[in-house]
Amino acid sequence: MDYLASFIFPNDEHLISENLVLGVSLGGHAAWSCLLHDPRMTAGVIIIGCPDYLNLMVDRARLSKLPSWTKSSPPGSEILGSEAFPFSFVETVKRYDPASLFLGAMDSVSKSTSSASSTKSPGPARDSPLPEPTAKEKEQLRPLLSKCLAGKRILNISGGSDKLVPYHRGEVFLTWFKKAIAADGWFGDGGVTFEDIIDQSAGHEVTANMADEAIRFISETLAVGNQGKERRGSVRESKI
Amino acid sequence: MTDPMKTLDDSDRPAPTLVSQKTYAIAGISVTVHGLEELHSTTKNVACLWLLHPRLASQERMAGIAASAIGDWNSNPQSKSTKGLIAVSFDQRNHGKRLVDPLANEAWRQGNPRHAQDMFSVFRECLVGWAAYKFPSSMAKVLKLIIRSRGHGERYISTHGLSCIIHLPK
Repeated sequence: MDYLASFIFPNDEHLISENLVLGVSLGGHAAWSCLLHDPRMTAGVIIIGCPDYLNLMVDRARLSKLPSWTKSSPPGSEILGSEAFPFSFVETVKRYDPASLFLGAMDSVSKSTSSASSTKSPGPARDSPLPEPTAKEKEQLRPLLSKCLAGKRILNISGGSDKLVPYHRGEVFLTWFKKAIAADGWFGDGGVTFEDIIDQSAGHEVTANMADEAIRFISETLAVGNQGKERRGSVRESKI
Repeated sequence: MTDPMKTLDDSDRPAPTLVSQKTYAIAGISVTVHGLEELHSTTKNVACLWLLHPRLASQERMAGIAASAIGDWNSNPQSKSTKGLIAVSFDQRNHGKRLVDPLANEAWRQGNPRHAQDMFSVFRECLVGWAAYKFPSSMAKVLKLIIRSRGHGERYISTHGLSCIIHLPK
């Protein structure tokens, strides 16, 4: 991103005034990462990607019957720290992955506050709904969410019958996230626009409907431009 | 894993009108820029859409989406009055022309014991190398110390102490 303009517009014929990202599958996971960690990336489309890498991959380890999963009792209890997920790797994921980064910020508060034992620590398998963050956790999360996502526009498209990257692997995080960023959510003033679209009959594939939604979203994003800078967050859910 | 783009190829969605493609070698990576020739010379601002392909694919698989997005935006009068659109595709690490080890792109079931690490490191580092690497400010302080103690080399630390590009001599 640093060099593109100097190669393609050597005489400064044009100015790259905004950057958007669209990724599919592996590229979809990547798109989340670009959105979070590059302030220049102001909008993104994630197609069949997942915002919760550990939750996705730990489940894939279970389905693959990895020795790292089956050898412990109960199975899977020692998957983090096994050869499949060395702790050094888990630490890296926690720095960059959306769910691990944001929910990890909650964890660090609950660890340092003795009275916060009511906050359920999200383990490797996130299957039950997460509580709304406490006031102290929000204090921790607000600057992080602002830095990573404030004012950005995101379209997340999933396949309802996707078995490789199932929607439910990211669902716990997404539900928590949507509650936070919605217009009436505690981070509603962050101005995040989020669309969560599920193509119900689709597997791990890009359908024509998904492509239509992606193109529609990109053109809308370009048309909106900076007009929405002061807007509140918004969440739209749709099943197609 | 079957190619997730195949469904789109096989669908009855009308094929987009082709747009121009130009290839550049940027920072050692072959980069295809879509839609350059279609830009209006009078439109200063240009938005750039970065396209990231699926595992086991390569940048060519994203050309259809590039053409669709650019064609759609260019049919809007705003593409002339406010900003143009280009799209960029490139091979992800260990994919396409950047392939180093085919097994590293495979899953556990296909015999790759490092599937989790391989996939994450490939996609997480997708734009690094051209995007300035972001360090937490505490890390930037550590790096400043290291650079000072080495006392040589090109270095740059932004005023925010967040972005670092460091080239130390061998």
